[in-house]
Amino acid sequence: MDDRIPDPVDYLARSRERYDALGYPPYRWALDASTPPWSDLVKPLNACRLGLVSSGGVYACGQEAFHFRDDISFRLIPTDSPANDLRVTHFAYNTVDARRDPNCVLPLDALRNAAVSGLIGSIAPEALSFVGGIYSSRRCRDVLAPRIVEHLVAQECDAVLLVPV
Amino acid sequence: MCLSSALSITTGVGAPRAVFVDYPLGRTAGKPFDTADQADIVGHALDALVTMTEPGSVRRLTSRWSNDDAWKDRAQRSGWVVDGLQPSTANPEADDRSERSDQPQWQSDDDRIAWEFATR
Repeated sequence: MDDRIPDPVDYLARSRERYDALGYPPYRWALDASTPPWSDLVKPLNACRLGLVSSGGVYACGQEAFHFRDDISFRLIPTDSPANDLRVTHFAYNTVDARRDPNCVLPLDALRNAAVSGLIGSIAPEALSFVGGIYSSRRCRDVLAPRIVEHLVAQECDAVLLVPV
Repeated sequence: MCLSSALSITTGVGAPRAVFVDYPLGRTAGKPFDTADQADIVGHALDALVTMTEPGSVRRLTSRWSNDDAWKDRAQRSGWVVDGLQPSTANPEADDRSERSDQPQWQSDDDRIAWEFATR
């Protein structure tokens, strides 16, 4: 670890503190000790189509907003959407900045520029967004995740940028 | 490739490749309207996508949210509402958590009207 870098916030510990303070039973994080899966990048980056997935609770004007009780739905957001067509709603983080500039949690401008400059081949036509804070890791794993993967595969993504919040 | 501002959670779930951005939650892809910062973070993530070789490794960026780390003391801590902090860019970790509800939580009422119009 680089000594020059300050310690990060330990959100696992903070959540435990918060639950204790509220008198709740201890929060049980779903931790995975197995070796993470790995796929090699099979193309040069400038030939790759990038997908984009964010749990920041982004929806486009005209789409239904998320609700705050274990919402496992997601929104397909055209990646040519201007930032002022995008909205943000989420119960568990301070959305002030993301509402002003959705690029804070859905970096469409940066990816579009990477495509224009030729750093990446292209960006998939639709980004996906949902809200986290779903208390069932099983529903995330068995219901939400496969649906997201289905859309990414259908869009022929070579790699995906994930932005969890 | 995963961007993250919660290092302990990201290592806990075992993301195959991750880049850690030491910013308050909700700003992981960069500071608002700071296109240079946003491009820098996404650029590092794309570089890491190409160059990382170890499953589960996390590359830490040196970008700082602010000159001091005072925001970290408040981050996701119970009690900061009592301190009178209101959510804002200056207080990025002030609590604006909402009650759980199964009704759509629109950013503004205009969004609800736009949705009703779109689904008519």
